[in-house]
Amino acid sequence: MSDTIKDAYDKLVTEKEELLKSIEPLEKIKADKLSAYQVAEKEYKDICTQIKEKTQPRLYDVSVEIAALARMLPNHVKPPVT
Amino acid sequence: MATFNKFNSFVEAMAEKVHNLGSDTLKVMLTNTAPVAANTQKSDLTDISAGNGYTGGGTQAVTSSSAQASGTYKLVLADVVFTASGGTIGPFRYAVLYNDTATNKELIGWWDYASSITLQNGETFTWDADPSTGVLQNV
Repeated sequence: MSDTIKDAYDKLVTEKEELLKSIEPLEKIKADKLSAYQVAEKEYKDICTQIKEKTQPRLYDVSVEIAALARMLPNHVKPPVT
Repeated sequence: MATFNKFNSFVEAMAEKVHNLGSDTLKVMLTNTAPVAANTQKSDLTDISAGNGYTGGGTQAVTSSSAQASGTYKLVLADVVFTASGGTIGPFRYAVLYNDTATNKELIGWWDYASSITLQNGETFTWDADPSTGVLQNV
């Protein structure tokens, strides 16, 4: 019984090692892609930050003020009560 | 404001890096076709025709705050005003919030105004986002 379990264990360990070995080339590509992705993500976030710094919080305030004034316009349409 | 309805895919998209609600451009578009919770991306819906003051794809809802407090996340957006100019806008019944930056312009949620609305020339309509409770919260 013990030998049977040991055989099954060894077989699964071997299979696991083979599976891991089979994806080694893909893991290398994955690591390279992740590195490139992280660089691109940082550049993307930097641009987002620049956009925010140039417009916020004024853009939000202006939007809110526009909406407040729009509600006071004579031709403002109120949605039906739900 | 009408009640917020969530697209089901939004919660998974939040967990799998589809959205960065702190930096992405979110837009509100108008449609007269009823959305359903199973819709996932903007192309699942058809917004009203562009023109007379309505831009195809809708208008940006400017983000004021995307932050958590005591473990509850809250997204606060500015109101969006649509103004009919040179003709009518609509009819529309639903306002849909989606992520214009995300790869497939994934959907977030929608509001049902109960009946179709047509803006006559010179009329305005405000998509009214609550500044205190935010557009959505994630507990």
